[in-house]
Amino acid sequence: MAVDFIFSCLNIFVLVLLPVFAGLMIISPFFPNNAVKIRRFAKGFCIFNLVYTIFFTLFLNPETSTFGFIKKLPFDMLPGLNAALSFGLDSFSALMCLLTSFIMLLALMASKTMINSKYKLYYSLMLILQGAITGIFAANDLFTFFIFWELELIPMYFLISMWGGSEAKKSAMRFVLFTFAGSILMFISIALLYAYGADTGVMLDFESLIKNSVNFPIVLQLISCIGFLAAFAVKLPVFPLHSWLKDAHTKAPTPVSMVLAGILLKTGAYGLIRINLQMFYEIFQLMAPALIFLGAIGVVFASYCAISQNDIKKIIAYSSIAHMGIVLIGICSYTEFGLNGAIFYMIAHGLISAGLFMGQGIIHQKFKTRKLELLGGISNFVPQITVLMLILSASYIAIPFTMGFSGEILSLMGGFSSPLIEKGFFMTNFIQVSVITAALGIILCAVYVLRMLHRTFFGLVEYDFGEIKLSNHQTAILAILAFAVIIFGIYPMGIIDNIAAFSNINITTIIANIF
Amino acid sequence: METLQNSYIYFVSDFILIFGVILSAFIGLHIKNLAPKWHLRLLNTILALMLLGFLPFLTGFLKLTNLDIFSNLVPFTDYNLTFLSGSVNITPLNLFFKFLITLCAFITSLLSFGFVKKLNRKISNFTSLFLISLLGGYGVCISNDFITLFLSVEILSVALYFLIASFYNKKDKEKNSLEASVKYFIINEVASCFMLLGISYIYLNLGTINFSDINTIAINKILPSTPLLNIGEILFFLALTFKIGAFPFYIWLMDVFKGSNYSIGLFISSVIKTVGAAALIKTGSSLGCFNSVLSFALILCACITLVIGNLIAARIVKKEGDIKDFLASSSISNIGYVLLGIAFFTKSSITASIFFLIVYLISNFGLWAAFMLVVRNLRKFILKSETSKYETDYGAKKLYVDENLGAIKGVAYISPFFATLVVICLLSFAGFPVMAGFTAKFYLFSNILRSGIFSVYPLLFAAFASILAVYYNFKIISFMFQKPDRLKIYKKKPVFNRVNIYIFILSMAALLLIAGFFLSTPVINILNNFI
Amino acid sequence: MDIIQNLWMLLILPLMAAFFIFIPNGCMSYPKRRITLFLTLFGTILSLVLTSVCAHHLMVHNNDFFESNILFLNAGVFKIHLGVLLDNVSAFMLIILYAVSVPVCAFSYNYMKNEEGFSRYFIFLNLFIFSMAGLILSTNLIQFYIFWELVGVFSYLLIGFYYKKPEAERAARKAFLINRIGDFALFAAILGFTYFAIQDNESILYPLLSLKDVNSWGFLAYVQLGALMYTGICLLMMLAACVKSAQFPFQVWLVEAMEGPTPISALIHGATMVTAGVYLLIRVYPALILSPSVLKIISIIGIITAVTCGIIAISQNDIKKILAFSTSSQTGLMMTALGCGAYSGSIFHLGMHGITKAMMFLIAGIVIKKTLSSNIKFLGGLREHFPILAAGWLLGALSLSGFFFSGFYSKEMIISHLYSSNQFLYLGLFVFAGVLSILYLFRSYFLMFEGNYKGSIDFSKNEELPYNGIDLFLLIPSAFLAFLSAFLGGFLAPDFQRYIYIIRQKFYLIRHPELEISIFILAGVMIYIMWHIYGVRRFKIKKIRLIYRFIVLQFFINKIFEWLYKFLIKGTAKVIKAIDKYFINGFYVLLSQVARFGSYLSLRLQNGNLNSYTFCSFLFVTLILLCAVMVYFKGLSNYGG
Repeated sequence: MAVDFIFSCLNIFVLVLLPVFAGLMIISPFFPNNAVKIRRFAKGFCIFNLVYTIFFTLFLNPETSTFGFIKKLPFDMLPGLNAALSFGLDSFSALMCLLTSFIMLLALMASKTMINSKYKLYYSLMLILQGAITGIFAANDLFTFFIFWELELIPMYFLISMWGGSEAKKSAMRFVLFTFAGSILMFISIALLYAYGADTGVMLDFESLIKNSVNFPIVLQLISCIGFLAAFAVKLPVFPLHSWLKDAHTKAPTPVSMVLAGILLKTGAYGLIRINLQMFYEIFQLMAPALIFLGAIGVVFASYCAISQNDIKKIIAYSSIAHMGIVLIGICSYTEFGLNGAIFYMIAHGLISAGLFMGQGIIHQKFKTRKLELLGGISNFVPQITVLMLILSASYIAIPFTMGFSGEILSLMGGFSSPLIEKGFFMTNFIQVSVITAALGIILCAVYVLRMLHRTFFGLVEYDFGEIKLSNHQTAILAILAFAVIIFGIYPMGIIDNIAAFSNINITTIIANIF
Repeated sequence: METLQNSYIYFVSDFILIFGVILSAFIGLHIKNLAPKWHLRLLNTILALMLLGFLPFLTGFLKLTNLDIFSNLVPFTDYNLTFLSGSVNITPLNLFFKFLITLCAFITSLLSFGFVKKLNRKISNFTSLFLISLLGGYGVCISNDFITLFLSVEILSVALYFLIASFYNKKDKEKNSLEASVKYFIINEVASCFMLLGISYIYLNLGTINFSDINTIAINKILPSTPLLNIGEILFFLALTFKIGAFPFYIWLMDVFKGSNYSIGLFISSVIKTVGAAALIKTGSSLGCFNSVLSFALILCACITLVIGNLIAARIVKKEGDIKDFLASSSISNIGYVLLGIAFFTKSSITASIFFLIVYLISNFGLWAAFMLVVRNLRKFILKSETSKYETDYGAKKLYVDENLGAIKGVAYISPFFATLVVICLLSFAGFPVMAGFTAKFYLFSNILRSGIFSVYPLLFAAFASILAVYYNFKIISFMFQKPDRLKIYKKKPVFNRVNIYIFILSMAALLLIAGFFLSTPVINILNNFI
Repeated sequence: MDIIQNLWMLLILPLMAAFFIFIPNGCMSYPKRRITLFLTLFGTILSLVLTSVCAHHLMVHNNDFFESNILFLNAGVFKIHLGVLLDNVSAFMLIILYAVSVPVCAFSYNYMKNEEGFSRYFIFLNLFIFSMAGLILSTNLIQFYIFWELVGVFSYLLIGFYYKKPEAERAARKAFLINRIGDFALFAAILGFTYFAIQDNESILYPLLSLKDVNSWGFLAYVQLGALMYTGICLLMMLAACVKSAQFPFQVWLVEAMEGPTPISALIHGATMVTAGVYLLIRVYPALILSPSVLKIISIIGIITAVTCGIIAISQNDIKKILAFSTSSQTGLMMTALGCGAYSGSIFHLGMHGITKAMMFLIAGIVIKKTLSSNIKFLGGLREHFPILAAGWLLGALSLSGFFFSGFYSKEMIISHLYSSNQFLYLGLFVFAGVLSILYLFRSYFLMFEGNYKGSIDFSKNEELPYNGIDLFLLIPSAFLAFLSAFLGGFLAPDFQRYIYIIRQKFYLIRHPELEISIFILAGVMIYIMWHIYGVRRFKIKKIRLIYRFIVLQFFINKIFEWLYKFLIKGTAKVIKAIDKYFINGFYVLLSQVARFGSYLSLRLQNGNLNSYTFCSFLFVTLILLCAVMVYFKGLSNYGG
């Protein structure tokens, strides 16, 4: 009885729009303006949201690759184009929603000590941001996907510019312009698809698009694939388009950069998988080898950049570019376990980079500097943070029995043995060489992560940082993330199971059609 | 063909307009010491009456929204009546444009209350000229051949010359409004020469100046589209871009806005542009049917307008230039989208451009009202504060007098509610999702793309333009959320208590937010049924 | 099958020990030394007993193997299994591992008594033993790679135990990074092999790349890759082995790893981890045989390491550095033995060397603890103060140089194989390396234990203490190891050939008596010379300045690695940072500049004077007309309405 009661109140509109509504509720003048009430309300709401998403993932049977909980707005907003808000979840997007609400909860817990001005606006923007991101993952139709894709830009801009570091406005503007430039091309390709849909009456929700988007006219497929790729390449920082990430990360306050690194980079990868890989897989297979090459270049390039930085936050920012390069390799490998690895690595990278940003936030707050020259031998002041940061950076270097390892080994293995190699068109013989260069990233990643750890935690203490009192609230967050990383490292099948259902069915159909 | 007698119903608002003109001119002449606010109240009542004149057609319009509440009230008959031997015709689209023009004029008169009061004795000129230019606008909407079109355009322009010039006084900021009206006059003459040349070429080729006849010739291909006809069409349409403020004739817009009063700027950017768009659509739906090079030329103009308009706006905002400059450039860049929609001459793209025009008007009124509010309060505050003793590093007088974009700095800290409304307007200009601007732009882009894959190239220009749009709109938002150095001055006095403008911005913002989701369907259904 | 449960128990015991140590010490404040010692010893002793039971069981059912796998990661076609595989090679290695780790744990209890990271040390030690056991018991190459990296991590943590000292943490970082190169090489090799293993996805046999039927996937790769590429992949594996076993260019990290506590050097850098590289080659031997050139390269690299490290060891003055160089030279010998086909000889040598080297490290530890200086130049005449240590060191020296005790048997196996398969070059170099080991071992013996004591500490007061002042906890483990290194060789050697069935070799103790006698004489002469030079100081040898400097600085390898790190990593990092800043970032700045220039131009049009406006209007209209006319005549009529 209880089961179908819960099932009845699982409405996806509530999942997506409730955070936005809660955000608006906080900012409305009726809400009292003292920090503790706001914070408690926001955190309570986030916990409720996490539980709600967990129920969604539980009630979704991973076997079928079809979308569950589909709900559509009754009237369509643009007559003739049947464009309306419609949401649906399948096992992959449910997992991403879970990751979003988990990291958002941690970010809100972290912002208890990190944010000390303009609470009302801050917490409402964070909740609106969560609603927007869940909207991206839960969208079931290109129009809603794009609405929420652009909607999350507005709170991000305000969060970075108003609570950010010195001259954060410039980098916030850079962030918005970069993402908007990419997504305006996606805007044109979505308009193109809707125009085609209006003329030929083909349905444009993900379900039917995945099935019959292959027999669209070739020119239409090519242009829309390039348009989508542009938007996702900017968001998942593919090599040449990555220079926005460094500023956005370093200037954003810690909880916001936790969310930015933890979830926003994943929206790019999610889009790449959902739209480019699943829908336009015939055209995308021409671009996949070049993308693998760019991913590999990205890994090496970003790792080298990270080595030469001497600010902790910049190092972590560059390293997330490097690791998203590996995710790109996994996605474009057109193999089952490559895709599994890519999705697993996305989740792993989400947790790890959130933890690392939290760690450097604590260091920045407690020791008032992020420069590597000034820091040294902190481990005698904060031994717990050292242990937790060691575990998190261990999984960044892909040490076995941590999450990073299985993700990396699967993606690179997938990249190396991808069926595109025999296809013999543009740049396919480079695939194996570029996967080896990406594997070089293991060494380079070890170099800069160890350099960061040793410069901050070990060695002699040069400066007296005054007395350091550590709030176990913050260590609790780090401990949760480190624990999650270890648990899913030792037992990766927990996550891989419901990813496998998604990728097996889709990739096998794709491979069956092409090869 | 219905004769004039039993079709008075279609001309109710025109008669009220003519009566209003005569009344305001008479009062201005004979009743000397009438306070300016009475004149404006008279103007408002006349405009309100004209709006009521459209009531009989309201049920027809609502039926079209196929919201089933009204559909069974009055059966909608698609009428196309021509009078004065074919030179004037009434179709639902024309009526819709007339209604739109009166609505914009009504809102302009409401908003420009504060700015026009200082004309005290010469207020009657303003009111009567305002109504005369409206008369020209009506003429454009109902015209069915080139002659009436040209005549009503000239009436409109003549009334506008004096309207701009009437705000001249040496001391105040509008000391160069004379210069503005002269500029407007001369460039208007240039445009009307081209228009006449174009009309004569068209008449030479087609032998008729009547739009419906041209339409029948074009559709069943009685006469071929000779090169001369192409040139004539292009010349005519390029001349019409003057009214809209698009590429070839956009240069006058910045100087006229800077020179003239805010109310005139608002009047031009809303009413005149709608009239221009109406003329374009009317002639486009008939002339556009020839497979001629016209649409290529207009697409080129639209793309260049988009790019240049946004480039100018970006530089002005970056340099924190004059508010009026910014408003002029933002209206140029947005009208480019409307022209882009019209330039494709397909039924769906024209509906999309009209819908975009409506959304543009809403956000335009929101933005103008916001800036008017900021400027008015600033100016009123300056006059009072000159006597009070305080010192800032810039000196009190210099800081406020020239209303550059700096005036809006720190508004969010003064009244966050006002700032959110302005943010909604700006985001709708930039085309962000939840606002109506996004739905309009999406509808426009997808309808343009329905006319073929080649139309992706102009859309790339539009993409570059909307990136710049995001840049300068967000820059203004960042100005608003900047920590103002003058906060200590504002703190003494609650600034924004102008109730009417405030309510108005609230309505605009709400409309934008809701229009993004709910209003688009009924409006588009109406438009679909017209053309 | 109780054997399988035993094996899993074997693997899990150190892990459980580490976990239960963490609970009281990690959380509670006061360190519980007794409990940690009891838990570690219980774990390791029980595992030693279990291994011997399993080995005996294996001996009884001879040439049988026990394997059981669990699924760690199932991503469709590519599955990773973790399991335990006991065959005679891994049984022998396990015995060596636990035989060494039990005394080391006991030794380090007393040695680390007053160190402040006591519980952290034991947690890492137990985890290291767990990962080493996992490495030895691994069923497939991917699990091997997992534990291979894990071993590298724990050695990093243990080398960097005194993380407050900058040299220790730098040594730990250097060790980990160089090992990472080895991990990369092994990972690349695994990528290659899995690519061919999962090619025909019907007949994939799981666990992937299982170490039992190496020749199946090895042959698969060989057929498809052809000889040249196949040797390439095997060279990658060889590179991984060389890095881990500190072969010639990579012995740098092993020498720096001496910064860690001595029992760690005994366990990790003496006996177990360093041999992991050799163990990899042993496991993958059937695949290596397919390309003979790889075996040749392995033996060349091995012999080069043996000779160079031997020479360098002679010039070193620090006890632990001497032992470190001797470890890399002995592993070099194992590599050559493997390369030349003496398969069982190299395995046996691996075992015997591990035990004796661990014993010598423990003695060195005691010496350092007692005399507080590890430089043999300042030590001397310790024989009358600590006769036991002198005896132990002598025993170790003799066994290592292949004179009497267990070292002799393993060396003899390899020499007799070389001699019988008449590879005389390798035989000569092998003997030369043996001679070198005699030189540096006896030099250290004479400098440390003969002559008069140059240090400042007076040992008079612990004359009367039992076993002259050495704590029992330190003495018993080293004595146990001394006993093992003396007699284990003789005990295991006779049936070791039959025990390692792979190459059927009838083995009677000494097959080439004339060879042995000549080596004996040579060794005796060498010891006599050493006695003269260092023991009695009869005549001084004039050091040739240049060559001496060259040798002491390890043939400048260390400098080359530093230089490589500075330029290859740091230099290119700076270059790429500049590229990122000025080219990639610069490109976007360029775009914004273009936009700014465009807006500047378009705003200049608004200059305010009227005739420029009219001129511009005319110009624009004519331009549009021109374009329209051009397009009209080109016939692009599809632009029509």
